[in-house]
Amino acid sequence: MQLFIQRVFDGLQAGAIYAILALAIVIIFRASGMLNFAQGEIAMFTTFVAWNLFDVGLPWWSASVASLLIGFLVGAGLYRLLIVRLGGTHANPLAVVMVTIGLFLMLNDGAGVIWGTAAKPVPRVFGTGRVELFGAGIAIQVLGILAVLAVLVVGFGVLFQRTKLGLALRAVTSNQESAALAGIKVTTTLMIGWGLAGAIGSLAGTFTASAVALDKNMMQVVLIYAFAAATLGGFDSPLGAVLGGLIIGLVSELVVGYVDLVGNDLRLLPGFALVLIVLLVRPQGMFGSAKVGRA
Amino acid sequence: MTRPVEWWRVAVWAVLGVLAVMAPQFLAAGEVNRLSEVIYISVAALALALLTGYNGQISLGHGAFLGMGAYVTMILTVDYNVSYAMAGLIAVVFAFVVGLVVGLPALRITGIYLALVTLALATLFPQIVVRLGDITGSTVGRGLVPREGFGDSAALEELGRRRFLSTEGFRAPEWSGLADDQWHYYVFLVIAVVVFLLVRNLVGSRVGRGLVAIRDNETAAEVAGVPVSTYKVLTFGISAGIAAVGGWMFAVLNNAVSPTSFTIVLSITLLVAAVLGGANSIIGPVIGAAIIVALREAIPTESQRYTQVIFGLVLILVMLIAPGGIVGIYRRTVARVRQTRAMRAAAADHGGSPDGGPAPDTDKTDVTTQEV
Repeated sequence: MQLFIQRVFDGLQAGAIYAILALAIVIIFRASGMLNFAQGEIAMFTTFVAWNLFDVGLPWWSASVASLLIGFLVGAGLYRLLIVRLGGTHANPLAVVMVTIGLFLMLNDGAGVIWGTAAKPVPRVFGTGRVELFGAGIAIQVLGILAVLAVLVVGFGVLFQRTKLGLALRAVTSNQESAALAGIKVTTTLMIGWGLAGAIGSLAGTFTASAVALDKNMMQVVLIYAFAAATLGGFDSPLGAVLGGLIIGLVSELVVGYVDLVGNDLRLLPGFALVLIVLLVRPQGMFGSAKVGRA
Repeated sequence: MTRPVEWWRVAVWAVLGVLAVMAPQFLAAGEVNRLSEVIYISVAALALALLTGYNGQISLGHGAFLGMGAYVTMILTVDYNVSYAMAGLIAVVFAFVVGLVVGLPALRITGIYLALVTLALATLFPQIVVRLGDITGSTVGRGLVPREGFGDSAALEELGRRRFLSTEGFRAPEWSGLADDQWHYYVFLVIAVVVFLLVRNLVGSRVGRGLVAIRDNETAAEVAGVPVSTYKVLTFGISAGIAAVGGWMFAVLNNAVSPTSFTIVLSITLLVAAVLGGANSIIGPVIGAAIIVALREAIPTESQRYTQVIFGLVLILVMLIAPGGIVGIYRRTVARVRQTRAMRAAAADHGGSPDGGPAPDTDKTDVTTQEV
């Protein structure tokens, strides 16, 4: 039982990280109908920068906050400098996919060049303390990550429903041309959207680094899971992404823990299977809005 | 569509053909192997060109199909005493079937999700290999042991299970009088030429026009009577099968396979090869593959770690500057020259001013203009 509780919380921790990255993916998908395949690598890269700051003496939490800001700049810069030049995401979706994949490769190996390929241990933002819950010792870090996720969800709601920026983002999502006619600066709004995604993604990066170790390949698996989470929840639903992330974290932790066939080597398989099934059976996910195609 | 024979074209191809056939006679073994590398990368990049450039589907996971080809070849020749030719055929069929399964979701969903599924496949493949460590040799990989040796001695098999880098394997037969590296090269060359001709004919056929129609506008293609679903799934399967041909070559050439060769980096490298050369052409993948291998060679050993960074940068720059790749640039230039000439001729006829407006965008059908 204790082991079970432990695994549930491990699953929730992983799931919360997937959910955070999935939120970043959902922001961009909502704003521009596009997936940013470099999202995970941007997070990895900013976490390395945070590690550098930590290395020169900054406390880990402030280094993490710095990585958040850098994540914002990288995300916004990616949109402003590259995606806009391609004529935006709607004119040229395949080219955008290629560019984000190129960035994926550059950041991944760039990190290897700059910081080496050896994994680096990273402290935990919320310390190493534990609390007794249901007879199992649960790390405060896990509870902290869940709290951050909750804050993000609430923040999301407030941002999109209660602020001018949120309104602009929603308008741009719904119809770029009309939004522009209504006086909304489409490019700036989208740039902020991509920046927010970069910032939120870098949170997932620091949490992942604390959970495993800082490594240039650490986000690849997380990205797949985050995509799975967003697929399960529906790509345009933040709430769906969060629930999807938690479900996938739980399910894969339990499957890996209790199904020998899958084991530790095949961690990704449950997520992959889930994506395929969801895409085949219910492409819009649990909470996404179904698209009506012409064909 | 019959076009008048352009003799300079024929001449260029003839010269290239002679060069391709003669090259191994003048090069050292290492250099011949580099050429063989160009061939297997071209074949896999051609698979991507067919899928992306002509049919408008994207795959970020073709490295996995190449890997499947390599692993099936290794396992069949080593463990089941299957001939190399037979192993290659089975590898292609295997990848074809997996490709059909992976391509299926493409029917329900738009291209961007296909990118996602194939990205997952690329990440998953090395994990599956490690999981099936008993037959794949886990993280270290395994070598290809010569057929004749297999089964005769338990020791040899034991060696094979431990990354036995055999100097034998796919060897040049006595009658050919060739060294092994030359033999590899010529076998690859013949197979590649056959594959390229098949794809060229497919693309030029009625079916090929259907594929392009699907790329440009799926709804219109459907209305025009193109069996969209069937074509899309089959194209994905065929493309995966072609990538597996490249995988067979990889296994034969390297005489060993290990999961580190088939990561997401390989998948992206193949994408770079296809896009850089020009994914909407048959010859583009060859140009792209040659540049990739040449770049790898040109980068000095101490800077090798920058290779992937450069490839990523190349991919981004190509998309920004010349989305049709090198072939796209060539086509655009030719079109511009032709237009200028036509204008001059017209101007001369009518005595008007040769006011050359902007050239028509003949690059319209590059890889990036279609809906996803």
